[in-house]
Amino acid sequence: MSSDSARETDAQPAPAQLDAALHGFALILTIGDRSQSASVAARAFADAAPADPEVDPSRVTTWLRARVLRDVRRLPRDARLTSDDRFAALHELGVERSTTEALAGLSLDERAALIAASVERHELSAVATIIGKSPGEARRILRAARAGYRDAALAAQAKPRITSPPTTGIALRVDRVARAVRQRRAAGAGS
Amino acid sequence: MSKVHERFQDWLVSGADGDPPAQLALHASRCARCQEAMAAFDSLDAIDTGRAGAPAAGETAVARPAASTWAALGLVAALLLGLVAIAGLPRTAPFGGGSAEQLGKPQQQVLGGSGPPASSSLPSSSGSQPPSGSGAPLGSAAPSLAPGQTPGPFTTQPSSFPAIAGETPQATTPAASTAPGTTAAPTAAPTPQPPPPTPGPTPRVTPAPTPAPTPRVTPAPTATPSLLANCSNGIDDDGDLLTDLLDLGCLLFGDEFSA
Repeated sequence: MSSDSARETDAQPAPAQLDAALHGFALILTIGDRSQSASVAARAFADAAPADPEVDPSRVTTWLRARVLRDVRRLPRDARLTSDDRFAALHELGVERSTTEALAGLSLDERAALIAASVERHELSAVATIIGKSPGEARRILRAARAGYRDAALAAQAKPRITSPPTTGIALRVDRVARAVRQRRAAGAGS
Repeated sequence: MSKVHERFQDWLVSGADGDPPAQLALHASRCARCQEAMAAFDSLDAIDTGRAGAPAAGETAVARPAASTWAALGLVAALLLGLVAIAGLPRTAPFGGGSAEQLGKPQQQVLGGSGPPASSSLPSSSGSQPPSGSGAPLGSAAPSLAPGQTPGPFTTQPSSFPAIAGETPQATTPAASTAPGTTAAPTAAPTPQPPPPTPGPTPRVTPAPTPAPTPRVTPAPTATPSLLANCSNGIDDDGDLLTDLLDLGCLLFGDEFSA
């Protein structure tokens, strides 16, 4: 979660990757409901089929996610799925148990915003399009989503895994800055 | 201390852009709570939505109603059929004595309301059309794809889905409303009726007596004995939980075992 700005590479992903990513987006959005995610992703693709091929792919990507979110809003939560079923589906994407629990506690809009921004690295404007809000409103929702996610993750039975020393992400950046500060202080004290 | 903690948490919730201020980083490096929060956000980094891959073909159809929903739909459909059949009885011949032709008319009205607009292929009940023709509207109302056969979108290009795959649950409901658990009804129908007149070979041999075979064939409504046997005893003979008045086979073909 280094930044909300896009980290997309110049190379356009292959259609198959786009398909899988949309399915993954839907899978997290439905908290591991394989059937619902496959269904809504298929519908989104079906409706996107006549799209102009010259349209910016990122716009298509955003539109597809907005469509998936719209359809998921209409679906009831499948009570037959156990939390283990859901976690098993999400674990294939690299989702930890605590993350699953924390994401499940968010509203659908918050979840979609958080996945789009912090997992798929979409820009704020794209996040706003996906959840159908203004950029200002999207920022507010995203902030609420992060706060809710953090609180739920810390309260979850399965705690987030802390790697020490940190190797990636926020923890690595914080650790690097903290080390630099300590070194400066140590150097100042020594001189 | 707590103010620094809150500021660091605020930095996290704001998106954790760039490097944190030095003071906040120093605090976070020693705060277990902050490290857990960082780990929670970093765990989002480990997620790769692209790993979802293509769903199995059968998965796309699971959004359809549950089995209990299908059962409820079937029950409602059976009740509707029964009500319409009862309402239509006074206008037709006595139930046991009616031919398949007579019984077919009210039934076609019912089905015509639930299916697509009637086409010219609707049965004319003229006798030249075998009863399978009366099954045609049923067949046309049913989707071409079974609920579990929705094509998997992730194995091909999006443009390869001309039909909206997601519409399959809607399209399947008419099929379920016809007769729960008896999808083979239209195909089983032709059995009591004779095959359509096949005057092909006969005219060549004896051109004159060609009309002869057809009158022999038309008395096909000899199915009436079976109609009397199992469609008027008030018993669910074929075990589909529908008694005579409600059974589609009696209504359409005069034979409870036909549907």
